[in-house]
Amino acid sequence: MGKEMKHFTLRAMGYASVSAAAFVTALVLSSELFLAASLMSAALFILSLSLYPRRCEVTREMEKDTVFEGEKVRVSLNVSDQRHLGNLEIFDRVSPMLELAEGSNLASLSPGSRGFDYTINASIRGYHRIGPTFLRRWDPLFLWFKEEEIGNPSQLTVFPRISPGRAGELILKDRKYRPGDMRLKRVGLGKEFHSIRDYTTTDPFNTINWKATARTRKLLVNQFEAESVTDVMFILDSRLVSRVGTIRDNPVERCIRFCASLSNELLNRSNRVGLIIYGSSVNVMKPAAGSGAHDQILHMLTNSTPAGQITLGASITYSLPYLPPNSPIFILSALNEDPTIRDAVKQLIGRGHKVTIVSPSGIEFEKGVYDNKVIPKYVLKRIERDNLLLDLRAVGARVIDWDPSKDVIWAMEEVWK
Amino acid sequence: MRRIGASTIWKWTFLLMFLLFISTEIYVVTSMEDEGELSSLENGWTGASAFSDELSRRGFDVRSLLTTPSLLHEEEDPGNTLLISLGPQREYSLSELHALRKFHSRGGRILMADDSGNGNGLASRFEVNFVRGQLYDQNFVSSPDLVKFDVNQDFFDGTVLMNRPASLSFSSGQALIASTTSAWVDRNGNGINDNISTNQGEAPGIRYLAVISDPDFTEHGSGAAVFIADPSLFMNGMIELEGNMEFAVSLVEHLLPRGGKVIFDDSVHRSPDASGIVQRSLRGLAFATTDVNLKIVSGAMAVLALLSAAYLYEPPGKPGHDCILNRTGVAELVEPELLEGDLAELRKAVLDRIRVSYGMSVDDFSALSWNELEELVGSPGIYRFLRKGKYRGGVEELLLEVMAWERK
Amino acid sequence: MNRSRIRPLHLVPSISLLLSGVIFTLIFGSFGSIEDWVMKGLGFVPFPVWFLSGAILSIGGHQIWKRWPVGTMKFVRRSFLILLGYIGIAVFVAVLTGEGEGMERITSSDPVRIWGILAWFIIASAPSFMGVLGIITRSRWARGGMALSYAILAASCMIYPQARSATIIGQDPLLSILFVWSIMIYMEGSNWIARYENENTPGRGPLLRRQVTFTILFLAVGSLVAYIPFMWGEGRFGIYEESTILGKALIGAVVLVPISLFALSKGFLDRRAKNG
Repeated sequence: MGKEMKHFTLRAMGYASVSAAAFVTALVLSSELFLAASLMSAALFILSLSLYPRRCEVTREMEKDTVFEGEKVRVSLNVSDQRHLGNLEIFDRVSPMLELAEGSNLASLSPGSRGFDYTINASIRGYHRIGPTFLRRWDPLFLWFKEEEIGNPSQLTVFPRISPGRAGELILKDRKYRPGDMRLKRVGLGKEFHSIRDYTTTDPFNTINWKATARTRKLLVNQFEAESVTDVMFILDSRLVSRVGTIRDNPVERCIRFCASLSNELLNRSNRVGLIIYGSSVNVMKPAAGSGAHDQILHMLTNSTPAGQITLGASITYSLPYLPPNSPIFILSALNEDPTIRDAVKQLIGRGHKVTIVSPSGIEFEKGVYDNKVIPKYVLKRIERDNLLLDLRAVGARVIDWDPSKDVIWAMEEVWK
Repeated sequence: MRRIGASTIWKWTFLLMFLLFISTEIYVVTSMEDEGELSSLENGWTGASAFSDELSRRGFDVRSLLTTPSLLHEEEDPGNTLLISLGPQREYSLSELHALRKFHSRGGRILMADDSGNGNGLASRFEVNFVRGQLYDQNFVSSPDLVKFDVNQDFFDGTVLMNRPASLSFSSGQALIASTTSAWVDRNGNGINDNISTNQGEAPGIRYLAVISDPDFTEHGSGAAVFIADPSLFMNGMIELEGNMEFAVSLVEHLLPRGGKVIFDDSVHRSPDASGIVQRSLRGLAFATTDVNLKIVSGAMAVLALLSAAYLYEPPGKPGHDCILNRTGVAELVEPELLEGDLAELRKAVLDRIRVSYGMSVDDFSALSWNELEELVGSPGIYRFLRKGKYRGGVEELLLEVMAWERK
Repeated sequence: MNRSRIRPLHLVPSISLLLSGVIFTLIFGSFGSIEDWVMKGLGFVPFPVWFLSGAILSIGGHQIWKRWPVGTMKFVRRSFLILLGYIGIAVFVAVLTGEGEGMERITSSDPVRIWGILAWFIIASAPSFMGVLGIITRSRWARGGMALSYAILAASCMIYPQARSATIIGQDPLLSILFVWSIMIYMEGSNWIARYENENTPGRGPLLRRQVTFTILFLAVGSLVAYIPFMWGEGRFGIYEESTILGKALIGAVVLVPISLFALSKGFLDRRAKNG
């Protein structure tokens, strides 16, 4: 139970002042009229002040405590006792990163009511706090209140949204062959259906799709997804300068959603996935496979906060020992305000990595802040960015310039092309 | 600045008010003397209860004022009110004198009897003065201290007996009682009429023992004040002697021809018994609520407290959900316009664009001559900007040209 | 908020002041003679005339202000400065050259009395002036100004009879009770609007009803308390203070002390319950 604080509203102070001023005037002028006015306002003030509710308990119930971005959560608050003459006002503090979808987290309980509920919209990933609850016990006229903090805060874990990837072969440079048995999570992996094509004489009969053949009256065969088991590293830019645009939608959030979606697809295909997040520090997760890796990646992504200004060059130099040789690398960055990008990418390619850069354009997000007006500085930065992308392509990296108007699915498809 | 809570302000205001009240109370209680002579509530030989009872019997509304004459400010009907102050044992304060004077100017009547000089504060405001020193006259009874005087007025014709009277000098008003021509005042208190030539003050002559400030007050409809040089005339032990009682009562009837309220000012005496306790406890409150200076002080304090409360007070905020998801941030486009320094950056960007689109390395590109560069650029406007840093028209046009530039 | 729709809740503050203004005019019409008191022989203008002139001025002033907003504001500001400067000079001159002693010099000076008439004109017409302005412009400032000028007017009317007779006179507390009722209903009404404006607030009806009931209940109790000093009898103990200061001191003891004690003990019990 927190410390109890007493607060007077402006009205209460006004009434007290009127009463005091009238009393002094009554004495100075020896006027009974002012004395009457003073007594009357003092009586109203004191009467109301003496009637306020007893302490009570408030408990919070949450529908669920772990959700994905975009889902809604219902929160209910229940009050233990509600028999009194005053008023109870309850405020459940909600993290500013959460939106209220329905109802309000602030409510004055009407007589007889035992509680209230509201729904929050988890629009952005993160570990969000709900609570603590503040209980304000008011007098009947809402002149003053005693406020105390009750109940413990709850945590709502919001994972980044995972968009489904298109089935198909990921263009990866090297396939990794592992020695010995490899237990796969899913039976028939590598035998996943991809598409149907015309029969050629070299196709084995068991691949013929008889249903389709019967329907089209020509021989068609099933095409299966190729199996590509490899180690993939993601390097995610979580610097403060990458959080441009709005907090809801910015290059960092785009990269995180992309990383969550693509890593999910890759892990489903039995690849091993590693993750490096740089910003205020460099966090490395070594490549790993399976649902454990999936969870670990989701938690790392959920926990990351855009901050700091470590460059790509510095973070790659730090994490070189963790990069599996020749593994494909995804750099997820807005590529802004970082002079080391060109050399860092060159270095990676020189070590034999296949580098794919997925870059949500930071200046496009910033242009959104200026209502999408084309301003002179934007043109300059755009030219510089285009130069950088051309340069990176010239170095041998695959660059996906991600326009903010396109969603994560578009970016995933671009990768799969 | 650290904000102070509303309750703190109120606490301090009340504490200050309380201290003011307590200090007033202490001052008033300790400044009182320990004798109850001539109090209307005192039944003993030295009290004045007989006079007070007689007035009640005659139909006057008799009250005892225990706290302070400042309360006379609150008197609703001063024209029919008489304040009697007998032998004050302390001097009146300035604000009390102000209240008495105001009471008089509003039509109030005052009767003061004194031989100690404590009444001079009030008397001097009516240009009357109590002269210190006992008066001796030829018409004494059994002892030179007890002197008889003849009174010949419309309202009373007879004699009164006084015990060790003082005398009065006045420059306005009219005498009600005078001595014989052989009366003298013992100015140095040795009981002997000293050498006349060396001590002029003790020379025999007519002295005055009662003075009225305005003999025609009933016609003027104004207030009146009567000063008598001997309070013992009204004592229980003296009032029944000679024509004292008749004189006293007729004086009161003369001052209040329509009857009315008679207030004995017992605030100048210590009251006996229970009323003494009431007196002590109420005096501070009465003082605080009627004393003009205290009114100003407490009024100013209240105004100051209100002002400081208004200045320091911060109303509690209404809690609400503050969603920050739509807050915006910029990094590269903080300044939307191109500034001088940006032109160098633009020049570098344009050169880079040319180099990258021709697929040249930095070294190869640096080795180019101006003529070769002009050929690669093609556009004379851009070339001029690269070579001389100048451009025609606005910077917007240059930017458009750069945007549209493509490798030949 | 749908502004075109008039809701009963929104009318509460204005109606409370308006109604009280009407009652005020009917019961205390004689207070209108303040101007005659300030300046002998000026005659007396009844309250309704002041109110009406305020309203007309407000409409006219608003039209002028709409046409020349900057010029009007400049004019008003300068007029007020001149008015303030004038009283300063008038008081100064009165102190130096006036007749009589102390305050008499100031109060008997004609230039000061002229200023008094001007100030009284502003005070008397301000409630309707501000009120009508508040209705036209829907400005919160104007509504606040209406309440404030109403309070000033009521206070001057409370002081006036006493100041005029220069004595303490017995007065009927009806005027102050009426004043406190209207100001309190005005303040509370504004609070009701702020608190219950949104009709979708859960539990709005019961909460509003409870607050209104308690306001009226407390005001009624307050009115009784206000009458107590006037019910105090006289002459029981033969002490002069009885009729003056004692009454005032005792009502404090009789009424306010038990209420305060109740509040204190409740607080004490609550604290004990908290500490177990």
